[in-house]
Order: sequence, then structure tokens, then C-alpha cells
Amino acid sequence: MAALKGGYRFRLFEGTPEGTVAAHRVGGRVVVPLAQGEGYAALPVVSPGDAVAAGQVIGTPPAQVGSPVHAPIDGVVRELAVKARAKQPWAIVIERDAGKAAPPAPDTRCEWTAAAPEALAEALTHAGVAALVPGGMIAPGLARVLVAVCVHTAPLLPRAGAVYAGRENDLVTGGRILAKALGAQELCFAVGRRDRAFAAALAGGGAPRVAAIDEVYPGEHPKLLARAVAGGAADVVCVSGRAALAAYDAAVKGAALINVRLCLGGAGLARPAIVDARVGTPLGELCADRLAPGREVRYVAGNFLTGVAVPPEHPVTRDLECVSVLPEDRERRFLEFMRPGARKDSYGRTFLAAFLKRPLAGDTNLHGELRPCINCGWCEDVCPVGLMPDLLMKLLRIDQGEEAEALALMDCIECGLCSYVCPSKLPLHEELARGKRAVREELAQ
Amino acid sequence: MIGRLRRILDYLLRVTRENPRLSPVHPAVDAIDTFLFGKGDVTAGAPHVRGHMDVKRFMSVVILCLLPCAAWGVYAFGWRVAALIAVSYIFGVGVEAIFAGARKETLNEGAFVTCLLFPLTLPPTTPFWVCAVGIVFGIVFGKEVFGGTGYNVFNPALVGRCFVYISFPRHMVGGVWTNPIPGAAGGFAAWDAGVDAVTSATPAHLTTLQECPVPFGDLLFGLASGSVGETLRIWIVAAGLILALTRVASFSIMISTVIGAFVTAAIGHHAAPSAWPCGAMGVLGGGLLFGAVFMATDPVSGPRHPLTRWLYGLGIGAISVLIWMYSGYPQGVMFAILLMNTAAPILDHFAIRRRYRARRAPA
Ligand code: SF4
Ligand code: SF4
Repeated sequence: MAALKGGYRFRLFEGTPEGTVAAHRVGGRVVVPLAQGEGYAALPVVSPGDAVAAGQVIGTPPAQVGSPVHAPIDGVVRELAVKARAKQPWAIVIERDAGKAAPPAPDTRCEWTAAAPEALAEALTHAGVAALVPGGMIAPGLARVLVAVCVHTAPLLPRAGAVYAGRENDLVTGGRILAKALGAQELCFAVGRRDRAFAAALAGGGAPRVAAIDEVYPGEHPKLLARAVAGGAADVVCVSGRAALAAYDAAVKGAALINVRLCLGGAGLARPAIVDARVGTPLGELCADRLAPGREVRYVAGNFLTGVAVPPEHPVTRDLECVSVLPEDRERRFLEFMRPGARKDSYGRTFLAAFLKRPLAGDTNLHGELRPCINCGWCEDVCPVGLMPDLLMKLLRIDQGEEAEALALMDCIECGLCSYVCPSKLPLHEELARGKRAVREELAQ
Repeated sequence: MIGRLRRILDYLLRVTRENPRLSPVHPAVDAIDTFLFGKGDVTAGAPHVRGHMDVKRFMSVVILCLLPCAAWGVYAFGWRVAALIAVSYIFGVGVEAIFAGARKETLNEGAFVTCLLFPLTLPPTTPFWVCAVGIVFGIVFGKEVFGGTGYNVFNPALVGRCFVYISFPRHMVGGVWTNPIPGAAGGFAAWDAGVDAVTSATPAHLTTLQECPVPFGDLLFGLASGSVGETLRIWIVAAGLILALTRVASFSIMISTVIGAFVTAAIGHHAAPSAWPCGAMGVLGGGLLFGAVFMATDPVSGPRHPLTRWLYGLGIGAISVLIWMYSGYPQGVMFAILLMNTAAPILDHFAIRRRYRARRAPA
């Protein structure tokens, strides 16, 4: 297995959840986005005032590519939320209401070993699992090799074994179900090299193949995994372990995808945790009794390298796996850059933290000022796909998009590492992503 | 204490912003403020958390590694050396501030390194005005004319050094070297070495004159004559290791420079033992080690690609020995680095072309 060139092994950050999974109390009001995960956004099939049951379909996709959206709780549709200047609603708001009797939710349970792949694919799509599969579609023949990704290399995440604890067998079964529905001949579980007990549990549960992946960010990126696991062959489809679990729940338990297992991490939380939460729960509500007191925080949906900052009202979606709650740190400290830095992470080993084992601080401060590139080459060192991010950025800045393309701009997987390490604080990742979009738009025309 | 400093800075910032007559100094005050307190900016988007390294710390590490060299310079050659460094800082940072103000940019921390590097390459007897002219020339023509830090093709400290070397040879070659000041207190108890100590030749001269070379021990432990900062070679080696370990400077450049010099000198010595220094002398003589660790590794003016870094270093090492042997300039390393600075972009260009051609072939 080819070791990753570049990449970065993140050490433990303060606020990394660990231990057992907690269940979050289901709230009385949920906001269910119509676009969740892969595929087209769904169109609502309910109207305000309708009674709905947990698991009932409340939105259907306009085309083959996409999956229905389900009501996460029993209750009444209050509103179809429309964003300013938009025509289509973006979410359905449901409130718990004891007064109205809801129709029973449909059941997607099927005898998966006996079922035809097509029927299985339909059942999984109906349960919403397709939202977790690249392309938003489940149908036989879409994959030859299915890789279930059960490794975390991003910061603020526990070992994957802790997240799937107690469900290893379901994970293996779910992987097989999904592989059958996708027509995959090979099924592989990608597990962290240090997550040995978990790998053993999967193997013991009957996993046909368990591939050990170095915990070097961004090792779980599909492009890198496909290379590591299947030698870069085409028709390799990587899905999260969550998709396998959802497939298990759908086919064996008949449950639609309305529950997600989330890692809540970050120094903005006093009590980080792995929680089971309902789709539609606002992040602010989810984290309310876990926040560190007296700190202004930023909610990031996803890990802090690639995720997006969202307001606290932002709801949990079915494709969400982690939330980073980061302290906003605007404080100006005297001669900050000269301090020993026992908890400061850096690619350069000039802080004490490089030689200590203490959890690292992760806040939103820039930790320096924007400066011209000093050509240190760190961005190139860490780039997992072997690009020269600084050169690409300089080319894009002088409108040399074509030259940048010739230097493999489009290979960038937008992992964010280049910006993370840059001592000049240049927004490399952002500008490269923008450059890629521009190239793509040009191609589309 | 810090609270009061904060209030004074806030006051100065406000006054220089609001008073049109004081506004020219606003960038300078702003630079000091930023240097001391940072900006407190937060990230605008992904990645939401950034690594803690910044350019200030980057440059501080280099300065910390240079300080023992400077301190040894004072110990060996007297307090005059400290004054030389001060002159370099006053004039160097001054020009830098003027340019930063004119460009409406903040002061660049790289200048603090340049202003320390430059005097360390001078003979201890260099007149102050030569030092001032050199650093100003180096910063203006080595850096600012190219567009400032990050765009310079040459190492600005070396541009300044080269300029004074060619323009004022009377103060740069010949009887400008002094032996280290003897005694336990050494230079800490003296202003300079005095007229008596002058005229001792640098080790580089000694070998070309085929006299008995200085013992290696003296060279390593800073007991030989030479430029202000280059004599404590044992520390320079340690500093090189520190810089490489902290990833501040490229180890491949340092080691390849040393190898280049060693091999070239060894080959020459093998062919003409009486005229050429041996391999070790090629490395330890003159400013080669200092140049390899602190000058060649300047990231802005050096190459980026792993392969070209090796070529670059080997080239510097070889050329500096050749210049030393064939032109009589004992400071060959200076010209060698400037020469290879010129070659760096071309080397990188070909290496990058090769790499991306190889990359697209199998796809
Ligand atoms: S964001 Fe792109 S260029 Fe930057 S390190 Fe990641 S893959 Fe490389
Ligand atoms: S990490 Fe930043 S400063 Fe260093 S080469 Fe890349 S862009 Fe330039």
C-alpha cells in the first residue's frame, strides 16, 4: 500500500470527543432541509398543517439522482421555509404535536440476502441511504469495489472505532447490503492503522477485507483511498461507514435515515461528545449544554479544515458526521509569537508543542499576519497530491489559469492543508478552489 | 506595564491617523503595534484553524541562531562589532520603513534578518559608513527594486556585501582582518583589536599562499580571523541542524553546499596538493559554512524543488572553491550564492516541467 506523500499527521487537539456514545434528547421542533447529502434537492410533498410520522416521506427528489427526505419526528408540518430571494422552499419545519394522529411510517425492511439487487437498491434509496453514496444514486453496476471508510484522519475526531463501537457487526452486514445493491464484487473496510481493536472486530464480524490506512490527513479522501486500496482503479466507490450503517438500518430494521451519529468536538465545548441526534436538530440546541462558558464560538459543519461556518440554527443533516465548535479568538497578546507554545501546533517544529504530548489548542485566530509568500515550500511539502500550491496561487493571481491547469490545478482535492501550514497566512486553498471553479465554469460554457 | 504600553500605542495610532502632518509615520507606528501585539485577526473561511507559525517567528528563529555568531563576533573582535550591527539595523530598517510607507504596506520581518546577516559578513574593521552604504544598497537594489520581500531574485544581504566589496576594496580586502582579541574577557573588554592586530590574513588567504593552514580546531572554535560572524564554526554547524530540524531552512541546501565544496577542494588537492586546500579546509576556510547555513538557505532567493535544491547547493559549494582558487577572491561563497540565485528560477522551471510531464504521462 503506497504511503501518502505529503499530508499531515494531526496530533490530539483539545476538545476531541472520546468514550461512549450519548443519545441526544429529541427536540420538539426540527428543521428538515430538502437538500441533504448527495443528489438533487427534494421537493416537498406535504403542506403546512399535515400530520407526519417519524420516517414518513415528506419530500421526493425530482429525478433519479436523489433520495426522499423523511420526517425525523412525529408531529405537524408548521411551515415550508423559504430563504430570501428564493422560490423553492429549502426546508420543512415540523413541530411535535400530540393532538394529531399521524399515519404510520412506511417500512423499508426486506430480506436482503434473498432480495434481488434492484429491489434492494430501491429499498435503500427509499430509506434515504442514496444521500450518502457519491452521485446520490444506488443501482447495481455502479461500483466494482466498494470501500467503507471507517478511518478518521482529520483533527478533533476520535478513533473511528469509538464512533462505531458496539455496531461493528451491523457495519459489516450493512457494508455487504450496500455492496450487493451497488453490484460491487469487492468490499473493503478502510480502518486506521492504529485502530487495531476495531479492525480485529470488523474482521471477526466477517468483513471480507480490512485495509489499514495511515492516520495522515487527508488519507480518507476518496481519491487517495482509491489509490491506497485498489491501486487507483476506476469504478471504486468510497462511502462513509455511516452509509453502511444506514443501509443496515434500512434493510434489516426498516428504519429511514433520520438518526445520525455525530462527533461534537472543539475547544469551544466543555464536554465534547459522540452523540446520536435526529436530523433537523439545530446545532445550537445540540451543543447548548456542552458549551464552554463565556466563550464566543464558531460552529463549523464538518472538520475545521474543509467545513463551512454555519449559524447555530443550522440543522443536523443526514450526511453530517462531525461538528467543530471553535472559540473565536480575537485577543491581541503581547509578543505572542515569541512564546514557547506548549499547545501550539505548527508544521515547523519551533514550538514546544512539537516535543510535548499536551492536547493542542484550536481556535480561529490567524496566529499571524498576512505576508507575501516567503517561498518556504511548506505548502508543497504537505500537499497530498503533490502540487505546488504557492505557484498555482501566484499564477491564478496574474490570470494565468491555463498555466495553472497545466501544473495540475484540477488535481487539488481542496483538503486545506496548504493554508493550514502557511506561515504567511495566505489563503491558498481558497484561491485554488476558486480557480478550479472558474476553470470548470469555462469548460461548461 | 503591558497595559500602559497598549494605551501608549493606541494613542500614537490615533494621533498619527488623525493628524495629517503626522500621517507619514503612521505605517511605522502600525508596524510596531503589529509586531508587538499582532493583529488579532480571525480566519475568514476554511481552514478555520491555522497553524501557529508566522513570518515573525520564522525570522526570529533565524535571528536566534545568528545571535551566538554575533556575540562571538563581539567577543573576538571587540564592541566595535556591536556598533557595526547597530549601524546596519538603523540604516537597514530605516530604508525598509521608508519603502513600506511608500508602498502602504507593513514592514517586512525579513529585513530584521538581512540587517543582522549583512554586518556578520564584513571584516571587523569595516568603517561604519561602508556598512551603512552596503545595507542600504542591499535592501534597495537587492530587494525593493524587485517588488519587496518575496519577489527578490538575490539575497539582499549578499547584494550589499558584493556592492561594498567591489566599490570599496580598500576597506574589504588586504589588511582589514584582525586576529581575535586574546585574554579571557576577549573583546568584551575592548573596543576593537587595535592597530597591532591588523594585517593577519584570513584562513582563505593562508592556504592560497601555501603557508601552514590554521589548525582545524582554531577554525571550528572561533579562534581564527575572518568576517565578524563566520568564525564560530562549531555553532554554525549546530545552528544548521536547528534550522533544519525546525524546518525553517532546507537541510538539503546546506549539506549539498558543504559536499560541493568538499569534493571540489578534495579533487583539486589531489591533483595539485600544494596549490589547493584539502577537502576539509575547503569547507572550513572562509565563510563557506556561514554562507551554506544562513545565506544559501534564504528561501526567497533559492530554489524550491527537492532536486534543484541539491543542484543549487552543489553548485554553490563547487563555485565558491573555484572562485577562491582561480580569482583570488577569498570570499568566493558570496559570488557563488549570487550566481546560483540567478540560476535558481531556471533550475526550478525545468524541474517543474519535468515533474508535471511525468505526472501526466501515465494518466
Ligand atoms: S488544498 Fe489542494 S493544493 Fe492545498 S494541500 Fe490540499 S490538495 Fe494540495
Ligand atoms: S507555505 Fe506559504 S509562504 Fe510558504 S511557500 Fe507556501 S505559500 Fe509561500
